Amino acid sequence: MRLLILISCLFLCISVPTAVQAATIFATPNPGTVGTPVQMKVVSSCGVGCPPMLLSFGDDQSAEITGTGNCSDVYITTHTYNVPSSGFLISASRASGGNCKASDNGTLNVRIADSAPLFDINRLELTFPANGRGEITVKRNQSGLTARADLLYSGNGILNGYWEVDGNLLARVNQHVLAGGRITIETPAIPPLPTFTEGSHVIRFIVESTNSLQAIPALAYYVTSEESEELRNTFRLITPLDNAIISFEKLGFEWEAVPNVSVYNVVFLADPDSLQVFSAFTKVPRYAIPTGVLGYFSAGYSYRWQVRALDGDGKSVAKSPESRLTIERRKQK
Amino acid sequence: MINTVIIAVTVVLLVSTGALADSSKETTSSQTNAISTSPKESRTFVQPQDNSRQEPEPFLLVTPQENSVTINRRPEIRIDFTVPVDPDTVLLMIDGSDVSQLAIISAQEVVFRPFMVLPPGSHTVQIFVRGDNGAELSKSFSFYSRHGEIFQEAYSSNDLTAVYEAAVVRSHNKPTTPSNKVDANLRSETKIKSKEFSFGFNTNVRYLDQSLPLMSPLRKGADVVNYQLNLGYARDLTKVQASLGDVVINETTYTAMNLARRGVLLDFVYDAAYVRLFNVRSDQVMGLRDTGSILPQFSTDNNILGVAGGIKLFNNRVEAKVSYLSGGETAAGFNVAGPTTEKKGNVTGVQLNTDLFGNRMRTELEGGWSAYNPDTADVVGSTNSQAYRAKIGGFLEPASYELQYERVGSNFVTLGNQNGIIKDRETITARSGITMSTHSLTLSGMKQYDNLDLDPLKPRNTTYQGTLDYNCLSIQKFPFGVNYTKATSNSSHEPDSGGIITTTGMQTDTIGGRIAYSNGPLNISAMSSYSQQNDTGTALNNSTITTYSLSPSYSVQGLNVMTNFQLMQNNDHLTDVRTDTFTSSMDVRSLWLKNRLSIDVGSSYSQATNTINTTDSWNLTANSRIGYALSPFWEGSLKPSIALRGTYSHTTDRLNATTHNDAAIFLVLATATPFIF
Repeated sequence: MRLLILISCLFLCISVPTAVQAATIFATPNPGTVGTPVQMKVVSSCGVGCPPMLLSFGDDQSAEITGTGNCSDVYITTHTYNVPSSGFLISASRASGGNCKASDNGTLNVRIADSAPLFDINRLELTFPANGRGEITVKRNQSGLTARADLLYSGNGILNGYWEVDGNLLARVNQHVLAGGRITIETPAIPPLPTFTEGSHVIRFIVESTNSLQAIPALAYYVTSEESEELRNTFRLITPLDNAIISFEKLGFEWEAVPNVSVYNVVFLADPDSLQVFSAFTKVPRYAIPTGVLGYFSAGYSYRWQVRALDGDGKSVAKSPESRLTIERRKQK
Repeated sequence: MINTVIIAVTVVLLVSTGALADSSKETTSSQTNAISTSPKESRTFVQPQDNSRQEPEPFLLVTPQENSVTINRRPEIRIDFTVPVDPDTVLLMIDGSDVSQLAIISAQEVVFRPFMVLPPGSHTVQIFVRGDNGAELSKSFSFYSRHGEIFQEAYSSNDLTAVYEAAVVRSHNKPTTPSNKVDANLRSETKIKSKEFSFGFNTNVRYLDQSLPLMSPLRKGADVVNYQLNLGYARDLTKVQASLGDVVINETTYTAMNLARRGVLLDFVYDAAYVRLFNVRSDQVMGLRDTGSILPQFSTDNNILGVAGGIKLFNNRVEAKVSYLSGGETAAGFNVAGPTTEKKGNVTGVQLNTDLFGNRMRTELEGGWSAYNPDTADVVGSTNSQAYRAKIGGFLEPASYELQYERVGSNFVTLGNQNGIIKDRETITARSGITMSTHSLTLSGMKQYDNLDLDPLKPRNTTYQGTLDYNCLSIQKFPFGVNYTKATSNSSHEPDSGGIITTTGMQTDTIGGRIAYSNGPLNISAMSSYSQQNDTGTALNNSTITTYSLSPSYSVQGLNVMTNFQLMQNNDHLTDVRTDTFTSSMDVRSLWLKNRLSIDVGSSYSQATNTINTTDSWNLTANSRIGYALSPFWEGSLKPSIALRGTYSHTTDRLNATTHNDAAIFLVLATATPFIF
């Protein structure tokens, strides 16, 4: 009995038209680009004696494709799109016949992008902001050394790249850029450019995005054996805070005390041209500008100030970072 | 057109000269007449010129004599009081520096000996004090110092660094680090000054050799890496300086700005007027072997020749300058990658800057005219083009503002500032910032479009961009800020390429936040940003970038630890692929045993994966150095040190099942030898 049922089922499978099964469409590449052929592969159930598959590409064009072999389930063709679109709807269908039913259909969205390059870098210049040149000499463990990359580019997209020093990764760059122009990228404060190994070093900015650059520019810096004072001793400025706006009446300054220091030299520079406006020497870690010299400063202008700690010979043994302040314009009475 | 503007502005300035004296910098002359009751740190005095009526003369400059010449690097300054004064109110200034706290002050005299070498030349001593009757007394003296009989100033400061490295341990599998290396550098700075003439020479001479090839731009052998020779003459209002070597040219935005190149620069100054002549290479070079000669060539094929002149008026509140450059470029230089065609042309810039109202309103006007051939090999010759810009800005408490209009012609090229000027653009930018107490807010906006001449072969792209940035310092230990940028860019007038019209449109939104915790030596900063580009054109280039960053650092005397952890997620909507890149770094600098022992580490780790498993790799690099300064055991100026330097590099590509290791330990002998004469 069981054998009879099995034979009956086999007979039905052979003689009855194939049950309705949707065709599956594959497109490679998807997304594609304008002007580049896209391969279409339609996988459908086996249909002996079925009519050809009608493939509509979604751009008002279509083609009839026949499968390979007597009982093929794979239909392959290519199509080239001439316009971009966020979604061409491909549909596969065939008429009934043989073992096939008319509704053996399938659909797929294919995205076609503009063939023009989305983003391209036309020029890359590397410099050290400290001297505007492509090489520099610094002391061992000197902080604040940075490198700058100026890029001219066209198009929109993502700038992908990374900084490397002596072939080792320093920091990655991954950011959107807009509408062709110029972008400047500097090495980060953390991690800093390594300055603890004496000798010559090479910095490069490697662009991973599409680019037309035919060379990889580089910077060179040399670290001397002379130790920078900064690591030996650095100290913080306490008041006023960086970027503070203060009045003439409150031109008082305070910083962290440094052990074994004879004299502090507090220096005020005009911002942004860095011309020295005034300086003072003090034995204590604070200083109030005497009103007799307030005329050196002007209301509404910005200044930067920094303190150096000096030993008995007048040699700088430590220095603070720079801080910026703006003198408040006096209220009209 | 621009000439008319300059003339008109100049006429206005001349007419308004009378008002300038009152409306310029808001100084504190009125404040200086106020009486202060607290000693020392809040002394109150009048300016020296206000004291001419004081009788009898309250001060006597004992040493050095007034207007005398003293031969001394640190001359003692002694001033006697001839009238009774309050010594607690003395303010002594040398060349604009307050040195009162370092002076020995009594009721009879003030004595100060500079603890640093006083530079040669003219010096001004100012003293302010209040008499015991409350009268404000002040006086200004001058004297002249020299460092020697023959030369007013003569010194040569030199620093020789020599490093020898030899590999002690090295990995066997195709090492990328050299087994030995010699790297030496002599830095020299010499200056001689006598009367009106001065001579200066700075240079770095280097020798480098190692067992493996060097990365560009380094080269084996000896070379003069850089140099600058200065000859100067100064007398009264006249100053002349000639510089040969690595010079920096700063003229106008449309001609040469921060142009650091090798060549010659002649600078003539008479009072407020100046003229500069220069001839520099168009490419940056490192070393003499590239150039073969220290003397510049006078070729316009690969040199930039220029002349500039200007005048500063009304106490530098108005400056007008003209600059002309002519030359060409044949090579990009070791630090530049770009078009390699040979270029040639000339450019003229005229600029007028004013600051008439004490920083309340500053203006810049500039016009540029260029004739430039971007490729001398083709049949197309040079084309003429213009550029104009007008900028106004200032500080109106508590806000600052800036507005600029710029139009750069479709073929405008400047020779000396090729990265700074983008041709074929019209741009309007506005920026305003306001700072109130511990809050600051900056707003900026920009409109820009290109294809000024509506070239039918190119589309016109129009861009709008707005930015908001807010910072808060209310909680000193927790400063934080947020920023938002919105930009849109759309094309129009697209060319028809055989029925295919390609449009571009992009909307970019970027929002970011940052917060820090600062407590003494500990600083922790965190940053996050989210950026989304929505392509409204036909490129379908939609993407998002998310970045998270955490940077803890700790810094005390002799120890500096900086770490960074960063995750970047780049999601390309076109391909539905997200790429994650994680990087971390650690940087340690430390000094121990009275600064004799140094331990330094620099390392980075990077891992990249994506959602379709076509990228899966990680990389670790570490460099370390343990050094000991031998100078305490060494006689003389030689400062030797011995160190062990280690390098380690590991790369794993999981997709291709490959790994690469490279490790080495080097013995490093180094010297720092300063010698001054």
